[in-house]
Amino acid sequence: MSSIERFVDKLGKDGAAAKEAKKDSPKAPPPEELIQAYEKDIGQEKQYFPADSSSVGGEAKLKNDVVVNIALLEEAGMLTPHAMQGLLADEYRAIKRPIIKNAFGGGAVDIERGNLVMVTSSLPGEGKTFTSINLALSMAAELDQTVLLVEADVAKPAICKYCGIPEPKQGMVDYLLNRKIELSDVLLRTNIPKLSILPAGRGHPASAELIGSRAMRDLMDELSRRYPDRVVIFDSPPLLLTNEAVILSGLVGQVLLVIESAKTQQSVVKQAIELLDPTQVVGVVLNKSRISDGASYGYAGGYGYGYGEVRGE
Amino acid sequence: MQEILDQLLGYARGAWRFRWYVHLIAWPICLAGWGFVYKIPDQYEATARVYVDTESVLRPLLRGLAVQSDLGREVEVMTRTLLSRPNLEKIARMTDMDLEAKTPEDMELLLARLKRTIEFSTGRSRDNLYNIAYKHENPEMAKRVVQSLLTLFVETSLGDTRKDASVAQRFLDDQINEYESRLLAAEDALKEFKRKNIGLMPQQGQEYFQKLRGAMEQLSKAELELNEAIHRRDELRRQLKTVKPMVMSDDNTVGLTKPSSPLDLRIQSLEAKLDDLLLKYTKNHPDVLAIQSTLDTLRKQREEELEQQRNSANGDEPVKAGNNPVFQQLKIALGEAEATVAGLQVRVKEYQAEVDRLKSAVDTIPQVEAEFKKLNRDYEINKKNYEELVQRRESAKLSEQAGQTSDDVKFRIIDPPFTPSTPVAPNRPLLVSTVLAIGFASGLGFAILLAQIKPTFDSVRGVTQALGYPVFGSVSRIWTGNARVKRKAEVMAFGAGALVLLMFYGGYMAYLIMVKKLI
Repeated sequence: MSSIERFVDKLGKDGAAAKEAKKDSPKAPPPEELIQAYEKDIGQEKQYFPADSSSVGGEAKLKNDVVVNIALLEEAGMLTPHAMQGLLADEYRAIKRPIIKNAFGGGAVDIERGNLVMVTSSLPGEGKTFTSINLALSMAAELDQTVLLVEADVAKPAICKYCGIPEPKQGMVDYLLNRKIELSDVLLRTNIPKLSILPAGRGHPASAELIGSRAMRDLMDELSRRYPDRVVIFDSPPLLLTNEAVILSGLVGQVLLVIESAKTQQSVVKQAIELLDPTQVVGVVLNKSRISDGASYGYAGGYGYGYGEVRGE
Repeated sequence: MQEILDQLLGYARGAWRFRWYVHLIAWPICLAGWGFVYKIPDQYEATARVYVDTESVLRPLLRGLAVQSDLGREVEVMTRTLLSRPNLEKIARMTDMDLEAKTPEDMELLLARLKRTIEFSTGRSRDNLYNIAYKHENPEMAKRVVQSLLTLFVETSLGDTRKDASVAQRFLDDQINEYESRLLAAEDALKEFKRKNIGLMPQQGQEYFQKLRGAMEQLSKAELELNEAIHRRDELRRQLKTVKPMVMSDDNTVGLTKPSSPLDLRIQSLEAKLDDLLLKYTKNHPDVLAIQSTLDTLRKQREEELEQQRNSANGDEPVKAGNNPVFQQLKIALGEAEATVAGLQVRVKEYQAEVDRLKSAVDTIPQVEAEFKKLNRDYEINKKNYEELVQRRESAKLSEQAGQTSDDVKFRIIDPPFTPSTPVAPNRPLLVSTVLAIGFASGLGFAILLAQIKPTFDSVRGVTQALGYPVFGSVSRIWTGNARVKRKAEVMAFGAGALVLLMFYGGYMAYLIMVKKLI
């Protein structure tokens, strides 16, 4: 994962976001204009209503809309909204099924705040952000629901970086601290239909306390209840490094534990699991795994996406 | 099969995580090992072969007499004793090895090492061929040791044979002396015994029983006679009582003409004798004088008797000297009978005493006989052994002389000490390769071990088994360009390290092969 970060940083330094635009698909809004406009107006708020953006229930116009750099995503090997074929897509389809089931009451037990899903791992670098973004994108392709992707890792917010969005000035932290700020002020709508992002905002030394605060709990309630057909995905910090993830896990309905295959030691994972509430609904995703016997049949390309590989239509 | 492969691959993949441990462990082991192998000095081996003829003089000599030494094993024992401490010291001195040992502990170590490394073997067939082998760093030294060993071997064996022969001789001599002294002692004992029990000796013992029998016969005879005599006496006594002692005669005086008493008879006979003598000799002849004196005595006695008779005739009835002839005869007979009885009693007593004496000695006779037999037997045995030993010694002397003259060939050196110019140890190429293998194996083993100790999750099944939570899915690793490059770099780094190590190995092997011509 560090390689991706490095790559992203390099891009940021070069400011060469323009170069990556060549891989855009026709379905997305005209990227050239967008990006150019974006670059021109960095720091400025701009109103933008994409033609096909919609959220069930009629949302008020968002002040903030951003453009997710899809080329960047592709570069990093992530899913892209317009090309949902291939091994990775199918894998995430498989992963999101039980999550959605749990979220909307299809499972065995009704889960409180089931549509709040926290993506975490034992140690950093296992692929939480990768998984949460992909999951969000995959879920955004669902017909019956919307997705909100929350940057819950306040110390190291990564979602905006991966998506190529400049870190906005205001985010969740500001919302929690300042009662005057509304949720609609900090939520970001994206060019990807049915996907919204809630950035972390500025850093805060007492982020754990913040997350444990009443305000956070209220936020959770709101997020959960406001739109029943919305799944909220939290990209949280690792369990073993900070306390925030543990606190957060108590506030969400589902926890998705990402484990890096062949790297994270079993004892470490077990240690992390012990931090979770035993009654918590937990699912596991094995990330960066080898192609197992049954998974690769029928897929051309085997290993996935690399630089310059052509995706099937 | 597939599962095994999968498992092995799993191990390999796990070890990949800890791949640098492989190098971390393999390199020190290999380098240290190779350094050590380099340091090991070459060992040269000197060998020699000897033929030992075990048909020696000893076997016939000692057969049946003493503990027979199995000569087939004698040489083995000899070789074992060959490596005894004094021998080792001799070898050390002969080869100047003891110059290196400065302290007694050094000497000890040196001797222990010699003992350990000198090899004596009999070869496959026990046909008296012995191999001597010795390894040393210095080929010359090895050869010298074997040479001195050979010398020692020959000397000791030869000497031993001679020694054995003379030992046997000495043994015989000692035995003979001992038996001789024993023989003398036995003779003395016998003599003493004979002396002490002179009357009871077995041959005389026969007489003894006869004696006893004779004595007993005599005793019984005497007793019989005694009984007879007593009977006679008693009978006479009885008769005497009935017969009147005196025929009444008026003439109380004793008629001179009538020889009425035995005294008178005697006087008469003596007078007759005197007359005879006087015819021959003169009055001064001793016999004549003796008879005359006796006559005088008798006459006096007669007078006394007459006196007694007159006295008694005055008083009571004379019972004693009656002039009844029958009475007188009876009296005479009684007197005789009583005398006989007395005499016989005395004889019986004597005979009884003799019998008793003999009887008491009877008990001791068998004892004496037995002891005599034993002494005799001991003596005989000693004598027999003694003679046998003397005989043997003579035969030994003869055969020894025969042996010395024939000059038995008992030893032959088949292969003289020889040291090949190439060292026999250590097998460096093998050792070097082994070190490499061990190094890699250890490193790999350690890495695998670590992977097992700190396992990761490699499969969905592993996760479900370990954690119990449902696995929603697994996401395959994305090999981006960068990731691929990175991976390649990792592999190449590891491979490069391994390659360097192999190059070291190859270099050393090449050196061994070409410079040292070991293969």
